[in-house]
Amino acid sequence: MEKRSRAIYWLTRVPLILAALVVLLPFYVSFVYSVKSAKEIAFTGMAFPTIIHLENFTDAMAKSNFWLAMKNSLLTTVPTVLLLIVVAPMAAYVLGRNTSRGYNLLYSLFMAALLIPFQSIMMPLYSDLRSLGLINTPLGFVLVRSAFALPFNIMVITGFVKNVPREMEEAARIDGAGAARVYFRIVFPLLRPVVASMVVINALDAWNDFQLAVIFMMDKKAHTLPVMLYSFFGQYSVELGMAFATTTLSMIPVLAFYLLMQRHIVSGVMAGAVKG
Amino acid sequence: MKPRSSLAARQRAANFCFLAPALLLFVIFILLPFIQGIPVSLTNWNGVTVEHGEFVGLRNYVNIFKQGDFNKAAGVTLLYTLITVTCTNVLGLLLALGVQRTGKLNNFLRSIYFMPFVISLILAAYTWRYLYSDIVNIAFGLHSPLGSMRYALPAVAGIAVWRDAGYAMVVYLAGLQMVPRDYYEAAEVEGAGAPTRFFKITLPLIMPSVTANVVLTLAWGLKQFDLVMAATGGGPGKATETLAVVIYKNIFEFMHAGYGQAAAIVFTVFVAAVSSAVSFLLRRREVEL
Repeated sequence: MEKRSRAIYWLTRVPLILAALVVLLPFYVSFVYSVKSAKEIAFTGMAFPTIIHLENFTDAMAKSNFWLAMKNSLLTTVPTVLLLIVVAPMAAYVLGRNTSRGYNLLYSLFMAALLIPFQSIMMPLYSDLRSLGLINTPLGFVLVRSAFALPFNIMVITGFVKNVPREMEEAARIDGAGAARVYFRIVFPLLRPVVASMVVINALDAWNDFQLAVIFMMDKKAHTLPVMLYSFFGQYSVELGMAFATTTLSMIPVLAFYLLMQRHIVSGVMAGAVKG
Repeated sequence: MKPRSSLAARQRAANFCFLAPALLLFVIFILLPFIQGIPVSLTNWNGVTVEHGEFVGLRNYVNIFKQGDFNKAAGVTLLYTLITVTCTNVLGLLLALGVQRTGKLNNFLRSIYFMPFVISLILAAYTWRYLYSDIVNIAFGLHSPLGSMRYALPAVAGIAVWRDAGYAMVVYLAGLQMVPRDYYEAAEVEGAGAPTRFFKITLPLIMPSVTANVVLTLAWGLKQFDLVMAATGGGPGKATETLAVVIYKNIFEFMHAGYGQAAAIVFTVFVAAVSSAVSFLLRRREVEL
């Protein structure tokens, strides 16, 4: 029996490894094509490259506005993440600790907002931001992106707060610590695991955002990476090697982030799925 | 009594201060625009002029159902959602079952399966656009499915499945960890085969993960925008034009802001109704451990 189940185990590795190869194929193709010249692509296709050509990358960077877009992506993502670290856990803490009617109502309001598609607010938001002078500015994007991520953050962190014991806070309160001190000295450190998860999820969401950016960051100087790609591929019919050089370049930062943060990303996904 | 009540008052004031930043963001950038959108949907405003157009009552709402584009897009959206929800969840569950035992190889496979999820839908779309047009062409001598009326939608859905199956797998893995080992042992002693064990034990016990995954992939499907914009722009014809794309085009390309806003509100009701119904039906099937 033991032998048989081990044989079955190894037999099932075959389709699983094949599936992994299929998943990896687009990454492999992007890389291989991006380092080949047009002539080599015609002759050697998908074979692993023997000579690495970097012209595609230099061309892609020159034509696609890559570094500016990278800078804009950082200037929008980092402040969004920081703002959410400050705002979301504070609110979630209060909503997790208080269950009287008003607080519950507020919580339900946030949860109802989870169902609102961005399309239903994008046009009024566009007018509002335009009159505030926040179109094509990182600040405008940061505020909207954070507001839009808020309900999900509050849902996940509130769920976590409910499972954090109250004893330490109460002891500190009896010792005369004020609300701010209790929160920053005792509560926030206890929330660190869930905050870490939300940081990576928020970072990915802001970095990969297209819906907001394509509306609020349409000026060429304000393009984030996804909007830059959209305008780059929409404008030119891009030659194959350079197309893949552009996608490969854009993949590098986020894949590096994944390799470094894998554990947090996965636990973030799990935290978010607990309540759905 | 006095110090106690002032303590409570101070706590309430502190609570308010803690909630204020989140509330401010939420009210200014979500709630207010949502409310502002309602009067706009009752006008023929083009979205550009200073004057907000004329009041047209419910005409936009009537037109949504009379003009074909909204209904057509609703059909496309539902079909797209059906394909992506089904394939993402079936594949995600199969992968999770395959790699649930921890070990070096399985951990490595998990990392690979999840990898596509971290890149943006835009990046995924462009990578696949070239894969479909060049690699598929070289390997099978076929034209890109993205250019075919018939296969464009499944081809776009395929990109989403490639990207999201690993996500579903992670959630299913979390669910599978919660199933007590001894249930399986007991079933094996009773002589239950693998299929029976899966349908009688595993599936009922991981229903919370099924709910979480289905509700989430459903929402992604119904609201799909990025992938379509980058992979096909809605074409060929309107074969891949989802509701989110139709609304965007009406508001920002055709300058039918009033009509587009009305469509967006109908869309909101549509998404909320479908999501709530599906999550209600699934929650009823969850069993307590």
